[in-house]
Amino acid sequence: MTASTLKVLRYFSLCLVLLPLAASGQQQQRVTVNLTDAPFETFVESIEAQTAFRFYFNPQWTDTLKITVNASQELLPQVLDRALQTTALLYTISERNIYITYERPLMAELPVNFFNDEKVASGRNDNYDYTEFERRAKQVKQAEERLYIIGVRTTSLEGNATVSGSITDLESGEPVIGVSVFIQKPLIGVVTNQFGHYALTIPRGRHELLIKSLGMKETRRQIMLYNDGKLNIEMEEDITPLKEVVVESDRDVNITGMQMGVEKLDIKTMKQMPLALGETDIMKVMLTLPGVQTVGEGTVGLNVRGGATNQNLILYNDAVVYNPSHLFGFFSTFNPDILKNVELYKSGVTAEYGGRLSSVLDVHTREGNSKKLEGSGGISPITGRISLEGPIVKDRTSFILGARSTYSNWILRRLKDPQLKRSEASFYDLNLGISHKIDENNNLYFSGYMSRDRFKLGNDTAYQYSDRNASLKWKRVFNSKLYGVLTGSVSQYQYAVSSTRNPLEAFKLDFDLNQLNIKADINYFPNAQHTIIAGASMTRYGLSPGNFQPIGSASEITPDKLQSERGIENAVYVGDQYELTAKLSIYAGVRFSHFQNLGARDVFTYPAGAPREEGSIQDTVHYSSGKPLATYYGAEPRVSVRYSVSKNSSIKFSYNRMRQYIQMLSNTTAISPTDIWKLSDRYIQPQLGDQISIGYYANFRGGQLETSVESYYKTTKNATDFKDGAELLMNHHLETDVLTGKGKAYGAEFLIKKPKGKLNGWISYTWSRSFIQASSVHLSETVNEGVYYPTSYDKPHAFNFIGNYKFSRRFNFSLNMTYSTGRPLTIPLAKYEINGTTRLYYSDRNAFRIPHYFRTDISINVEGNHRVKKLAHSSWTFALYNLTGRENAYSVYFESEGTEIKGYKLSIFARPIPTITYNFKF
Amino acid sequence: MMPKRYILFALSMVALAGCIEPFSTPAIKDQVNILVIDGFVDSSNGSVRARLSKAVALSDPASPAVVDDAQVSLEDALNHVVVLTYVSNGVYSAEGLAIDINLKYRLRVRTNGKEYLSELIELKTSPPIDSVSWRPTPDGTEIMVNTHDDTMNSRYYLWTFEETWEYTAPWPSSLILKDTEVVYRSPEENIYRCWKDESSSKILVGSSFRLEKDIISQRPIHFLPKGSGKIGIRYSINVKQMAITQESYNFWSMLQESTEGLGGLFDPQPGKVVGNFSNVADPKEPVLGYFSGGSVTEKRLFIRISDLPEYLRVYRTEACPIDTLLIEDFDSYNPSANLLVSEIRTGPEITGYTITTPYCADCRTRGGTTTIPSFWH
Repeated sequence: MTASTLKVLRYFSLCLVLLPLAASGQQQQRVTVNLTDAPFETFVESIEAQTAFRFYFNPQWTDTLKITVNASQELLPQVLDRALQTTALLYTISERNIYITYERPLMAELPVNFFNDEKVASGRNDNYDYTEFERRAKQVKQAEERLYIIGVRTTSLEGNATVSGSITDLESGEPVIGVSVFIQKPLIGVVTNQFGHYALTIPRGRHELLIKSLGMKETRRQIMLYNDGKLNIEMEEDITPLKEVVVESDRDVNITGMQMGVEKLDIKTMKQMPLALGETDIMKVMLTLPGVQTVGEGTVGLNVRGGATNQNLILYNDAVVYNPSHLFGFFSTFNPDILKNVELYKSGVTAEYGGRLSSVLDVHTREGNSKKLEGSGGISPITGRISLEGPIVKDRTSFILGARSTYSNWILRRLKDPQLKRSEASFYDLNLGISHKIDENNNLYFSGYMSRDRFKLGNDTAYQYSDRNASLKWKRVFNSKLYGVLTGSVSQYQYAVSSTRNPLEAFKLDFDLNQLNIKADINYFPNAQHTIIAGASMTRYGLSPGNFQPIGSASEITPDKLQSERGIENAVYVGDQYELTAKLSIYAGVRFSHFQNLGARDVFTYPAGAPREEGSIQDTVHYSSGKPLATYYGAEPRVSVRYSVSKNSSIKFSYNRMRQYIQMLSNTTAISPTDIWKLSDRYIQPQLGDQISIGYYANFRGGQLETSVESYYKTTKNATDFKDGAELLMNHHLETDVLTGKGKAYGAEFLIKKPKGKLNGWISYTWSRSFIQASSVHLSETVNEGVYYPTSYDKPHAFNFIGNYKFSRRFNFSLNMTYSTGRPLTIPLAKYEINGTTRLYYSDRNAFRIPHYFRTDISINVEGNHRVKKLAHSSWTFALYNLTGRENAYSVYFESEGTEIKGYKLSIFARPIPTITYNFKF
Repeated sequence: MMPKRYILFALSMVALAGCIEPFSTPAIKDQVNILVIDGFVDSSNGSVRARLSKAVALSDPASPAVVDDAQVSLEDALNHVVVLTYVSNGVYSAEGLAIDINLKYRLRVRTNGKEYLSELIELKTSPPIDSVSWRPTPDGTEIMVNTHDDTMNSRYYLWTFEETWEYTAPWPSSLILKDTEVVYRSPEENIYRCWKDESSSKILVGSSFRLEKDIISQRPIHFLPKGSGKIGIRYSINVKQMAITQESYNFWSMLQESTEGLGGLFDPQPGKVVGNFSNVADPKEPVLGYFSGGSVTEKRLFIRISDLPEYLRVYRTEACPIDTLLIEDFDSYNPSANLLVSEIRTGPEITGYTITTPYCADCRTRGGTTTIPSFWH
């Protein structure tokens, strides 16, 4: 389902290579060695031949080393002293092992977490009871040293076998996503998928599995692999990072991973960014990534690589979200406390995703803690939130529940302004996740999501909208090479506008969209070279695009209801990631999608060659229930290629084709709660997008610095646009107001990232353009004389800087800087008088721009004390949004006031905005 | 659909940090040369009126220029032609015509070697205005119009209004210097009490197409903020109503949307509003304005300050200083700088006059006229 099976080809860190040798002998042994300028390996062989000792060392340190030593029946330590005295290497003897280390000695008693020597648990306190800690350490150590026998014993160790299983958090029992599981020789690795599942195909025999993930303590397993078999692994959370350091999941994944144009962010990264309203907001975090833009701050819609806001597939645990915004977009609907991670695919989308052109935003929530009850929450100036998680049946069934709401109504009632005092604004969102382990091979996951907004100004029109979805997933592991997931989901988006101010005209307008989806996926790992994901999906859409009804008996409103829409979208897909050589890897996939807009429905017809206008409606054709009134289908090829130029650099290429059968129609600049969604029909054809993308990735200083350049070119067919003055609400013939045109977008994204260290963060610069063309023989269906013109989210230059500096484990400072070109704007060119009043004549659409945008934010995180065990953990975040107080234009508008035309610039966060947020965890 | 005030509202909630500033448009180099024609044929009084002007660049400080050298004619569907004569200020008109409400009409304009023609328009009969009403709100006085059409033929309406209000100068000047003599002003020389007119400057359209019956109920057409001074003594508003076609309604509502508050992210994006005129030879040339017609109905409303609830009665408190001019200094009196308010007597003898500035004693300095409107009593 995700890019979970990325192969990790190589990994470098402080690792020791195991040289398996027969071992026997005594502690106090004497050896005879006579070597002059001999390779270190020769020295090792010589000693191992004479004794039962085994050497552990990193060949990187010794491959250029020449040993000169002459000893006759001398004690081993003396020989080692002499051999290594001119080098930076040190040795440690423990039982029958000799550990060679670089620069620093090894403690004779190996600390529990030696391999993370920089990350020893901190904040130890004299009062602390270590018993539990020690018990667990012992348990971990035992697991690491024990030899696991995988598969049925055989005598032959020829060929490959697959070891698979799941990786879970020792503490909470939650699966851990994105963990690298690999062996060093040959370097073969995989990454766990969203269920924490991995399947690694390696040569049979003795191996040391290394298991690494950021934010988790590295661990290892000794295995003897005879045949396909299972190994579940528990990992411990690394306490040191305090959930604040992580920037990117896997080191070197940018070089070695197949994916390009994919941004993975986990909640830990997102939580440390300075934000306007005291709340971690994934949509806002996405905006700091190269290639992601928005029309204005405080709006939720993302424009990914020059795509429209409706071209993003937003998945919440595999269910589609239609409007992820609260309060006009000042907040997104995803509660940060229960989120696990977010992946944004800008290109290189694999075949299992489809239905939107520009991007996939895949949001995953955590699974509840399966071992003990936990809670967390936060209080910010506008909202309060709380979440609770814990086992229902220990180690089998767990839940996670999140709730968030605003006290803005309470604030409003305290305001002096009578207009605001009578106003209402409220929202809430609720999330529930339940995971259940049926048995070793079967898991069930339920996810429910609901968000609702309501606002009303004075006694005027009230707006209300809600987005709900639920999904149920059944994962079954058939064997170590095959598992399948069956997912059913339902999504509903609805809004209502009502007014009762004038009883005679009291009305309510409802919009309703329902989506039902069933899909089955299989993940198959036939051997080390191939990872195959295939599946089928079926989606039913039901829309009630508008129902206008009177309220109350006095209302004279004529009830009006737009015809409902029904559609069905089916898709089958298969994709294979094939590793041809260690350097070259190819992903090839295809999705075949098929869509039908189904009756019952009356469709207007227009004479051929005439412009589609209300006046030109020729006839009405009735389609009976279930009869398709428009059918579209086609293949969507997806290809990605990765070539590793060297161990620190690679080139990637990808090509995608996407089809979109449901679109949002909007003639406002930002997503508004009253925008309508429309299925493709006879006149509004499905959007078709092609993107090619090429990128170069290079890491420096051992992965300390990651750099990349990605460029893309995109074309879109049937992008929706609208006529000047289009009316989209309660329109019985949208085809007369909506235009379809061609779009093109291109750009280059530059990124330098320092993922780790005291100072970490990234700098990105994006140059991009986005255009649309609406051209027709009819003047009324042409915009800007039929030439390509900039879309309202075309912002050629964008620069982002995100920096974090850790003063200590408790204090973290973040700085965020954003610059972008102002968005395009249609402005008045001329003024004229009509009826004694000055009126405006506008320029070509989007011919001008609002002033450029620049903002700096800072934030400081202060953690409570760091005892590992205490009743409740808390933290404070102090943030200052728009530090420089720059009056960034949110919009520019013009009003005629008597005979004068006045232009105004509206800035929404026109001065520094401080916020304090208190977060707690218990 | 989402007015800007909702954004402001959201802002005031979330951060109270919003800010609106003047914004000047980038200078446009291109010369603007677009013809604007605003025409109406009134079947009630048999007249046709058209105003021709040119659009000017927004940055141009000059107000839009009028076109005074055009040939304008009204044609009906039977090809009867009436030539309009130039009046002034870009206005061409013809009166005393027999306009047939059942015929279609169009306007032809020739200017600068080009010929422009409107579409053939349908004339609509406006139903009478049922009432013009008002109500107090916390912030001022709202004026509303009510109408209905039992034949259900109107559906789309356009209103204009002219308001008139009575006001006084802060001080009454009861005396005037005639030649060398100070005399009492005659009623004709009154400059204390004035009446002022103002025309509607907003596009007022409404429709009942969503209603079962063709009713317009309590449609707000004007708002007098508390303390505006218009209802200082007595106020009157005359509302004119026209029934318009759906196309005309679309034109006016689009024009309204694109100039009376746009630019919010939730507002429709503005665009070109094209009327029903075009260049006969070059249909691509933009021509602005609209030609419509039909019958006009009107209704007048009066409001006295005493009709208002107490909290809306704001009396003028203007600091208007009054000076004393002693009789011995009378030679220095300058009638254009100061007006005589009243005499100062010591016993029977006039020892001086109280004086004040014309702004404080001549109501005409505030834009009104002393002529009492014919409809005032």
